[in-house]
Amino acid sequence: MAFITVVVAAEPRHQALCRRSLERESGIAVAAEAPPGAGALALAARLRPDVLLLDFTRARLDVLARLPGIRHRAAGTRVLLLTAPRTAETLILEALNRGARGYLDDAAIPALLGRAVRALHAGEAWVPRRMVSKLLDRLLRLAEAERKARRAAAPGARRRSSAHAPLRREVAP
Amino acid sequence: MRPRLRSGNHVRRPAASGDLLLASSDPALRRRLATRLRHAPGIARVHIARDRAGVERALAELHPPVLLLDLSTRGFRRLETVRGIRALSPTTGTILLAESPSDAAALRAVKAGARGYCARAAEPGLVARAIQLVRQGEIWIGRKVMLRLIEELSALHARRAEEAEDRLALLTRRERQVSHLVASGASNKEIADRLAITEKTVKAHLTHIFQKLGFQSRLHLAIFTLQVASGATTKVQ
Repeated sequence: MAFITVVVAAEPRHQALCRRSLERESGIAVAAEAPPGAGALALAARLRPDVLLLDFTRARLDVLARLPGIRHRAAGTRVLLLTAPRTAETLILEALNRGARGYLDDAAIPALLGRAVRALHAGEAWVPRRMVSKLLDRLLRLAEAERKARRAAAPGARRRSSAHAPLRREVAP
Repeated sequence: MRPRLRSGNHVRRPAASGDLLLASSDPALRRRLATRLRHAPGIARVHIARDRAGVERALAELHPPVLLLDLSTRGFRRLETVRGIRALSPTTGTILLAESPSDAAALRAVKAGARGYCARAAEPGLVARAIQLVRQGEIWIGRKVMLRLIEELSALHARRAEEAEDRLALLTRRERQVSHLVASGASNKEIADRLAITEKTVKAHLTHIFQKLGFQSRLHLAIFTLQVASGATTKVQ
C-alpha cells in the first residue's frame, strides 16, 4: 500500500500533536521531523516527501525567504503551512505566491490535518473558503492593472513607476 | 413564457433571501434538482426558467439571490452571458452547471463573474451546499480549481517581482540598506545601530522609501524586498 509521506517541520509546541494526528491516519506516514528552520528545507530536498508540513507561526519572514528554495529543490513536495489564528493576509498571500498550496489553523490540527494532507497529495489546495473570494478579487485586480500598464506603456519603452513624473504617455487608441 | 412560480402567485415582487432560480432546458435535470432542492435546508422557493428569455425575465422580476444555470440551457452558449446576467441583476450570484467541467473552464467562469461551478451530474446535496455558500458571499469551486487560482496569482506575482527590481532601483543605496534590514526583521533601533545612524534618521529614510515605493507598512516593504532579493520570480537560476 502506498503511503502519503509527510515531513513535519513544526515548532516544538505543535510537533507532538501533528505527529500523533498524522499517525492516526491510515495511509499517511510521517517520514521525518525537524525544527522549521533551514534543516527542514534540507530534509525535504533529501527525502522528497509528498507533503511538507511547515510551521508558519514564528519567524515568518524567514519561512517566506526559504519557500522558493523548497519549490526549487523539492519540486514534487507540496507545502502545507500551519498558521496562527488571525495571521496577516499579506503573509499568507505571499506564502501562496511562493508555492505553498494550503494552510491550516493550528487549532484545527487534530480535526483537519489528515484531510488537508490528503487534499494536497491529490493535487488540491487547502484554503478556507472565505479566502478564495479574496484571492479571486486580487487576481482580477492585478490582471486588470497589468493590462492597463501594458496599454499605457509606449511600445518598446520600460514601464515607469508612479514615483517618477510621467515623461510621455502614449495611450493606444 | 413566464417562469413558473411555485405558489402560483404571479405578483411581481423581489425574491426572498431563501429563493432560488433554476434554469435548464432539460426537463429531467429540472425535475431531479428542483425536487431535491425544494427540501434542502435554507432554500425556500425554487423558481424555474426553461430558456434564456425566461432567465432574463425572471432575473429582472425577481432578482433572486442565487441563479443555478445549466450551461446547456437554450440561448446560453458562451461565457459572456455570465457578464450579461450580472448586468441584469448584480445581486444575483450565478452557479454554473456544466457537463464535464474542466478546471480551466471553471476558473475562467469565476473570473468572468460566476460565483460557482458544478458538474451537471453533481449530487443535489452538494449543489444545495454550493447554493448556501454562494448566498453567504463565498465562491464555490473545487479544490483543484482553487489551486489553479493560486498558481495563476503566483505567476502574476512573479511577473510583478521582476518589475519590483526596477522599482528598487529608485531607492538610494542607503535606502536599500535600510530596506534589507527591515526585511530581516530588524527594528528601527537595530537598524540605527547597524548603520551607525540615529533612529530619527532611520525613520526619515523609511518615510522616503514608503513615498517612493507607495507602501504604507514595514510588512509590505519587507515582502517587497524579499521578492527581489530571493528571486521569487519564475526565472530561477
